Amino acid sequence: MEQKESGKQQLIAVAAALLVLLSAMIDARLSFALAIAGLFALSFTMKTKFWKQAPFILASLMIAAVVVVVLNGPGELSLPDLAVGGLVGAIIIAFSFYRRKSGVVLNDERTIAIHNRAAMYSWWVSYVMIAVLFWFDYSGYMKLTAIQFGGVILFTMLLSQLFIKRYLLYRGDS
Amino acid sequence: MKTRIKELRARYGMTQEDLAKKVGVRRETIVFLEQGKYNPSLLLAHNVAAALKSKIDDVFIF
Repeated sequence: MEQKESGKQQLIAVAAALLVLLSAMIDARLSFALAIAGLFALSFTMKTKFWKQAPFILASLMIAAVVVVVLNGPGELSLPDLAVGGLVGAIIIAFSFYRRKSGVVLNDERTIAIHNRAAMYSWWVSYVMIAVLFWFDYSGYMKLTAIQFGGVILFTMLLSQLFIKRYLLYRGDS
Repeated sequence: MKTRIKELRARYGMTQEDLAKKVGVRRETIVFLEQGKYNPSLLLAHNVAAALKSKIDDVFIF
């Protein structure tokens, strides 16, 4: 019964994504509004509490915004792109909830410990990167704008965390 | 740390997937436990030992 409900949620999510894509061709604002409404609707159809999911939904929107900015260049943030990106993020989150509900263990004590260690190492990598960029800029060897500086740190944190996590997942801890 | 998980699992005709489901962890965690590449928490060690109807000392060789 629960799996049937999750299957319905997936269908709704796919239908919503198609609706947003179609509306993006008509009007950017309509598409954006639909995407936001879809995100909230998706979160309410889940049985877990909305506020537990809200950070993930916001994070997916932020990541989508960053990806769009990087792809289109600064100042070229397109609302339909952002909406579609956000909805794709929401669908990925919905899929992970569906997998969890169907009994698949996504995280256990080992993966949580690895995630925390990866976050710690990633913090140090980012710290070193900030120090290097600061001294490069201070010594005049390389001049960076705030956007460039922020972009480098953003991707350093994200990618180093992902790579370190992947490495630790395939390596034992003793 | 060496373990006898594989041997005990075979005795009870359990797959890694079965054991993982019983103790509520990912299958990969059981793989790493069997290879001695992961030190489990006391709770997980207890659950694994219980699922294999053994004592912790019989499953994990310190």
